Amino acid sequence: MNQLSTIIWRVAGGAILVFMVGPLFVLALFAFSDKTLLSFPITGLTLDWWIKIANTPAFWAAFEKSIIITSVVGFVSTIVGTMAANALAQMPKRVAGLSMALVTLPVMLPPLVLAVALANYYATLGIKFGLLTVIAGHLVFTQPFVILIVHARLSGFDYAIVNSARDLGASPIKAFFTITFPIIRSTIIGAALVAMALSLDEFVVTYLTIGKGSTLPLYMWGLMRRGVNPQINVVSLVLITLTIGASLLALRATRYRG
Amino acid sequence: MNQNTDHPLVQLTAVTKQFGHTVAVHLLELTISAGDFLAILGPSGCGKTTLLNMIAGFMLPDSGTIEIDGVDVTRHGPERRPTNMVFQGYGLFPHMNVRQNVAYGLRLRKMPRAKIDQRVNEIIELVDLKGFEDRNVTQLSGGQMQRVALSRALIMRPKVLLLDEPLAALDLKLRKSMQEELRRIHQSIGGTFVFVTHDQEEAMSLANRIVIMQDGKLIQEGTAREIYDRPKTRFVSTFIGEANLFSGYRKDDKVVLDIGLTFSNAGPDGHVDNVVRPEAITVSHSSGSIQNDLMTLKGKIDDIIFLGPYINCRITAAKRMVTVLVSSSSLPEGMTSGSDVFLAWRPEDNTVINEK
Amino acid sequence: MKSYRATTISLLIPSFSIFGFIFVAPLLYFFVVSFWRKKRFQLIPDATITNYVQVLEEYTRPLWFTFGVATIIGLVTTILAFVFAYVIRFKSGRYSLHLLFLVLITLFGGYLTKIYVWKTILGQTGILNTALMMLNIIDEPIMMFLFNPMAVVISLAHYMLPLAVLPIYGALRSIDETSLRGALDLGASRFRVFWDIVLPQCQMGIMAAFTLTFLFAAGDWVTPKLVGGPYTSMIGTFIQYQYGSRFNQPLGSAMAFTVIAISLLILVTIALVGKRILKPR
Repeated sequence: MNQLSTIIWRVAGGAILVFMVGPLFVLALFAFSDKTLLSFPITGLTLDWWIKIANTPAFWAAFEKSIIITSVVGFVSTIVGTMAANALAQMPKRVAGLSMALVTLPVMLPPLVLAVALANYYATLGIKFGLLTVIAGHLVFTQPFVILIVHARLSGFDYAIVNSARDLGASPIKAFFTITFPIIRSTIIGAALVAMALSLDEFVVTYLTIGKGSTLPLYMWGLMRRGVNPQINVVSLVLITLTIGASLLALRATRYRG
Repeated sequence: MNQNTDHPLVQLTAVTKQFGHTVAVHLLELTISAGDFLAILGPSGCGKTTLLNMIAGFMLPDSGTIEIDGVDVTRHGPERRPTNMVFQGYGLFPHMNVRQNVAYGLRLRKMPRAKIDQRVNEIIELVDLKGFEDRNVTQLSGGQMQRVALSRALIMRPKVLLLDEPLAALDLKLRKSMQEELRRIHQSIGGTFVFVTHDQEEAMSLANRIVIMQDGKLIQEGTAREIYDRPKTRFVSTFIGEANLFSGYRKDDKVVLDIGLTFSNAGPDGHVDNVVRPEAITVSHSSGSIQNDLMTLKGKIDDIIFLGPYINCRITAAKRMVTVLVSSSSLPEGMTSGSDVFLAWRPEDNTVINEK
Repeated sequence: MKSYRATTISLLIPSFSIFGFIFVAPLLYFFVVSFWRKKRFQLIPDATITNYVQVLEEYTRPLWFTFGVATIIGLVTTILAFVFAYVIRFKSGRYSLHLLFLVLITLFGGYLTKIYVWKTILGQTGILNTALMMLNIIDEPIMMFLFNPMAVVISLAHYMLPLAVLPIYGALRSIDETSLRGALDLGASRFRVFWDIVLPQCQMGIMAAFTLTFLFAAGDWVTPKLVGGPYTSMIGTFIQYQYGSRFNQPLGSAMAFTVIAISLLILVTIALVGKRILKPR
């Protein structure tokens, strides 16, 4: 009896696993297929598409913009988020809980609403679309993640060590950099990587607030409008390698245990 | 509890359970009678919890049979057995209050609402939890959770109530009061309780019958007194209570101890261990007051530890350590560390263990 | 101690500035705009609810459709996520951490990427069709796979699945296994253990998973555009439209807030109903 139900559950789980992960393998596979049409059977493998993409300036322009945006967003949201998490960890639980729920609202909202609201806002204020507007938009939804991750780590943190450092004469800033930071460093790095992965992958807000420029997701979108093409596979493979790579590093950094 | 008295309530025959290479329970035979309050006592890893789980049905034996009230339940799951268990950690349902937790089993049986309520009230009264019925179980103290777990099982009127280390998580004072509670409940409902523990004091104060387990085997069974006074092996003698162990040799029904003393004791020839309980020994300043037929030993006090009602004396005698326990009022005047003393005990207080 | 509090609070300033200036302000403004009017190419500040009325009257079909699809996506994803989380928690032995790891990895696998993948799989010359033809199950490609609501459901369910697994798994994790044995001991069948003991304790996780999935699907615009085809008119497309070619901000804004309001209504209803059903008696 027990054996049968376990088997059924496992089969179901396996099917769902295939559903979840399978398509990504398919994606990767066809980035190397030598046919233009993405269909079976696969006749051969080639790097042609990769070479084509490498020779497209538009791709590199988008790539560059992506890297810039991601880096800035990662950097800023990590600093801002860590500061906030640090403050919240020392405040009474109800206040902290409420603040975190508030700050997380942008994540619950459909991205389109945020994107449109921001576009509207910038236009009315006369702010030109560009890298800055995109970065600002990204900060809104990446900072909650940084705050939540760092705060979770700080929840178990023994502030007595900080207090003893201050007792010995360290200013709050010094205490943070010499005591708290080294201990939670890996968590902060992990949070930064998560923020970067989110920013890298973001499409909707970027699309509506970037104006003339392009990021990797936007470039992909442009290609997609013209139909299916293995080059898109290449670009997406690059994209997911970066995002998954970042998240892998983040997982290792934070030693996530569930 | 109407029991058919032809057969014992629980009968385990040649029960064996193995995990990989380790044999947790080995060819175990156990009989439990209706009305028993049985303790399965042993050190960690001896297989007692595995045994309990097999009686409950959470584990199935690899071989052997388990019969409860004449029915072979060996292959039955826990829901089919007339047993109920109080788990270590209690296993209460955190999203329900006390009443809902306790009533759960009866609700599964589709008992009419009014009858359930009546039984719930009865049992809550019995375990002294009146007033807490509507409180969520996560808001209770450890002792209260313990009682909810107990009620939840007892309300089912199982033929056998199983308890897994019931008092382990409680602090000393709470443990003592729970011990009394459990004895009281057992006497008042007349059921059969079986519990596992590694605490010999707990076993002795709760149970009317104790079985000692070691390495998956049943070593000795009996009342607390029987096991204490007549331990069968070295292990049992030191596991229950403290023991002074003297080695010796028996020949022609006479035992000669290493320390030079002899006494008569019928039995086969060979090496033996002699157990003398600390409270059986008296200490005196001189040998003059000691009767002739007593075993005597000369020694020097190493340390005197005052424990309130009694005093623990560590004495070096015949190049070894002897522990003596005397009531505080009977320690002779003027005894301190370094005093020369004479130890004495009756030959009847020797318990000889034939061990290979 | 006062100075200590001051420094602590000052740490919150940058974060709340971002929140205030780049989130609250734009949204408030956006909300206000929904009460304005559009005349020719001019935006006229006003205090009218005509936009909302227009949304509810003219766009009733897309609204129904959107929320219908969003609910289906929410249900499908939540059920799949629950099964998967359950397997990780209770049925996968020593591989549970590996499976969890896989979930976390695919979480970041890209939004456009995943939708694109389904486009390639479900298309006329796509992988599914060519595979079926190769296996001689069909002679001609099935057009039906792509460019319809089904494709939207599959794509979004696939995208949100890892995200939905996490809160459910978190809730399942906190369930004490001893309580499950307790229920078995009292005579509960496996179904009863599941319904009475497991489900009530992971209510919050399931609700969180459904909420995230539902909200995202309700406001999505990209997916319907890429794989939805002409019959999939979801409200997201229209919102974007108002800002793209039509330039009717008040209407678009009213649409957006209508979506939010209705979504909240639906979610709260489901939460309350769920609570009622699973309440222990």
